[in-house]
Amino acid sequence: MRWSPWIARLACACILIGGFEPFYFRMLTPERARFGAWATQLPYSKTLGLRAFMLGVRERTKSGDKIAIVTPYTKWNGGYAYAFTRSTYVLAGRTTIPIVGDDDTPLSADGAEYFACWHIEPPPGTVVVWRDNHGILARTQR
Amino acid sequence: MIACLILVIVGFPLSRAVDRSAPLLRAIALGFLLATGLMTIVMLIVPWNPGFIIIAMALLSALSCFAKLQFPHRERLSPIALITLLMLIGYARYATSAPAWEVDFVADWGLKARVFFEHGGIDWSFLTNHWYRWSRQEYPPLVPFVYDFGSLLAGGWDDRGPSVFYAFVVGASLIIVQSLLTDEFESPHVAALATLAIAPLVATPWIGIGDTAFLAFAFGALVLIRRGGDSSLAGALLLGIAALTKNEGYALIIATVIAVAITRGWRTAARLWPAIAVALPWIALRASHHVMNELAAGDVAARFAQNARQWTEIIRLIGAHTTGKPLLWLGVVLSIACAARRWIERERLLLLIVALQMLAYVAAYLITPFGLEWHIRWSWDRIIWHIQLPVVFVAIVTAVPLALTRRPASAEPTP
Repeated sequence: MRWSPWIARLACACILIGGFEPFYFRMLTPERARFGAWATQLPYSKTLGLRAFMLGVRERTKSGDKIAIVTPYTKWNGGYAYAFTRSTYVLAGRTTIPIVGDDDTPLSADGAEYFACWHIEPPPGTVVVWRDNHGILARTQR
Repeated sequence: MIACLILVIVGFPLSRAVDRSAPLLRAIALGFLLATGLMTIVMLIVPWNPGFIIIAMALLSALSCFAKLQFPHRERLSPIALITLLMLIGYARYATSAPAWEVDFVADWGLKARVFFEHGGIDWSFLTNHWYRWSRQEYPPLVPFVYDFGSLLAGGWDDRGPSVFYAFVVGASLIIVQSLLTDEFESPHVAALATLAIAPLVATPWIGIGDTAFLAFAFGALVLIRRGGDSSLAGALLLGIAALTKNEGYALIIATVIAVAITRGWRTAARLWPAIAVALPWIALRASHHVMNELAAGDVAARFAQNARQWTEIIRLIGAHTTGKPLLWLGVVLSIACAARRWIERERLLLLIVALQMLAYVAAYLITPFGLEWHIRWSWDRIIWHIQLPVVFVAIVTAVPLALTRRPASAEPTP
């Protein structure tokens, strides 16, 4: 019983020190700018140029357009989901169409008006609308 | 920032009507949290025009002025609270240092926010399109709506500025805790020190997703319900708002009602009905559009039977993905060592809620359709944060009174 107050003080000290998070205090310094630059590219870091390409696609399409997302990846969990989810975020407002199912089955993109082809050639029967160093935006022939 | 300030102003009359005993800062903080829930419900109903939303919120808030409102008294503050404030400013700068960068923001919370923003309201065609089922279509809408409300006021999609909400919601929760601890410890300095210890556990690193907001609402709710009396209604409302933030909130409502019934009786538990009333609109709306929770979809019994047979694997995976702060947990163990009786006698309510919530999480693993490895790997580290906050709170409130005990004066009269 005599020791209880001291153990309680030690418990409080452990909680205070053990939970302390110095990182947030460092955000008050110029380190924030470096962190911000790193965090900005983080969600797209495994797909070189995808964000810039999809931003270009967004500029050249309008809300409601149906855009198939074409990438070299053929497995859902082998890269396609990564590219498709991020493309869908950048192209929000348009309807993005997957060409790979979550069970890895190839899907047709019959309803697509556009093909956003990242690091891959567009399918036959389409015309190129715009390209950058990382991809090609193609449109189905009318 | 402007969106958050509007919520502060709109919420103040609400908090005065809901918890009349709250001093000034606690009333402001509670008001902000309540107004965020009000904003979510309003955005489920009215057309998405910033003027309509603000007017609807202001009108509903003004209704609370029919209650006889008095201006609250000011609480005592300690200079130690400035350290927590500095941390919160750092946290706000962290949250807004870049467009929200979490994978789950881009693939889920933020994606839905952006789709809704482009659509000018909830886009049910998106939420019912099986192409996008990886975006957790059934998740509650509060966090996406926060980004939408901020973007509506800004006049264009913004995935960076509205993240300042995270500093506001964490700050509001901490103000409530500090205020209640000031009453409990009868010392603003000790309360401020305890709040400083708790602050990093509420301010999670996950910006743009539901966990931080859920923790802030849920923790605020639990400490108010623990206090009881005048604060129970406010606690119940925050509990409902927690359910508008993450599905775990629905489990928390059930856990809290059961725990309150066991420790304080069914009549007290029945007074938590506002939590269900607040949580219900989203469930009803979701069900009317046939957007179902994936955990409840398909053959749940078969998945339960299959996963239950792998209970050793579940334990192994939980062990493998458990991370945390060892020194913090040593403090918890020491608190139990010196104040075990207080843990059981005084804090049964919170401990029971934590235990029931843990059971709910394990039950979710047992019926998961996502595969045990994947589900545990991507959820357990965040679930630890859900549990550690109330446990550390209990450790502090049981250890502090003992730590403040001084050597009793000698019974022998001094010559």
